[in-house]
Amino acid sequence: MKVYFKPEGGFGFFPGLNKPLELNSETLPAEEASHLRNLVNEARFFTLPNQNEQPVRGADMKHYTIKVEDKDQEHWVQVSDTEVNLPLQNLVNYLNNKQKKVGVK
Amino acid sequence: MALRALVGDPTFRSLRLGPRLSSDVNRKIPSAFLVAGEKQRTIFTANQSQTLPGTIVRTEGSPDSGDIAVDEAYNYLGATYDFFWKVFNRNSIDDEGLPLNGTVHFGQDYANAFWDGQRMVFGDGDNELFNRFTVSIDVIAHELTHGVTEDETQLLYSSQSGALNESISDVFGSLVKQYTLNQTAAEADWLIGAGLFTDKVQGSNGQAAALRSMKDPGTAYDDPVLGKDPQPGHMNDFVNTFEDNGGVHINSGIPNKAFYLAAINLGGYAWEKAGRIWYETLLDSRLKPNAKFQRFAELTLENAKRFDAEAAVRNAWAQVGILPYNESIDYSI
Repeated sequence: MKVYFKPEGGFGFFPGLNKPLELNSETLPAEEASHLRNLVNEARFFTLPNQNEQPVRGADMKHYTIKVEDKDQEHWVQVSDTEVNLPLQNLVNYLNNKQKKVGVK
Repeated sequence: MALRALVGDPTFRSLRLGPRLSSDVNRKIPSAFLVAGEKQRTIFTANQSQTLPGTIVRTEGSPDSGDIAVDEAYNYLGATYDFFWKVFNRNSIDDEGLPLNGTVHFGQDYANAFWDGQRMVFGDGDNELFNRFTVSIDVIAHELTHGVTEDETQLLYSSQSGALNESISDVFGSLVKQYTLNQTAAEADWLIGAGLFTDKVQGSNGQAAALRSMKDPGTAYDDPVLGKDPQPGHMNDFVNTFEDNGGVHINSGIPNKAFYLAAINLGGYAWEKAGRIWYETLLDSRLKPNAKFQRFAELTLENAKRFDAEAAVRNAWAQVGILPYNESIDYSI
């Protein structure tokens, strides 16, 4: 399974924190690969709409694009910080933390 | 009886031009019962969830909660309200006494603050790179100003109009800080988000890191993790990008620098002339949602005439490459 993640927006633009992240479950430690797969499954990722209705008001909110490829399936979603789907929030939080660590390198 | 009649009478509310904030914004007290100049703050906590608005932890007039994020949000929203009221006679975000709602402790290690169209929302930061987002008064004033801009002109949050939207929030964010500290334009640091980064983030030129510098865009930080502050301070360095809604937090450095230069040219307290000119421009009906830098600059010139400040303002925009110098104007300030 491959997961692509790209954060956007926020109060400021920080080049190091906006780099895209790519994860491949085959190259992750087995435990982490299992955790990632669970997060994707718990979010029922492949059944989610690509985008919920985007707010027309507001400023400085963060948005995230996530794309997952798994066997013969491929799907992407865009979510914001006001996403109310808790399992999807958990996936975003995991990917955010991973992105920050990759950005350090 | 008279008050009851006023509550039900939309005549005067309807007279005001321009679209209003959505009516679903929660008003705890009908606006007719609020005395202009009296703020109405409510601070909520999301308790590290991402559910809004959260639960109420402090209301208007109640004492310190002991929770520093709650009390900073309460105090700095109050300072921002007072600034707009005392300096521009503006009664809250909508100039009609809209209650100020802020939510703190949003999300887990959430390193951001935003305006969602109804309220200001602040994360606690990750404590690795970012402290809590209530720590800087200018950050709180920045978010509240997004509400003011949305109420007055709805600058589209993309490309140049979005960068203007961001710049206006930085301008009034910085002015609220300067007003609170009683600083002249020459005394102010012109930094946005000073204190927001942890000590781990490296500044530039030996200075502590901040989010943005209005005085010297592109120099607020230079850090191995965050990268280098990408803001330009001149149109020659304008960044064409799809990132960040077309660079709204990047190219805002250009109008930010123009405001700084105008304030320095005019001298004294920045809110008295430069701030007044920018505020009148924000209210100017000729400022359209898709305005670009040049149109905004032209309107500031129009509004500067009333304050005998046209040369100083034109000079500022010329220095950042937005407007040409006018040979017929004496720029000596």
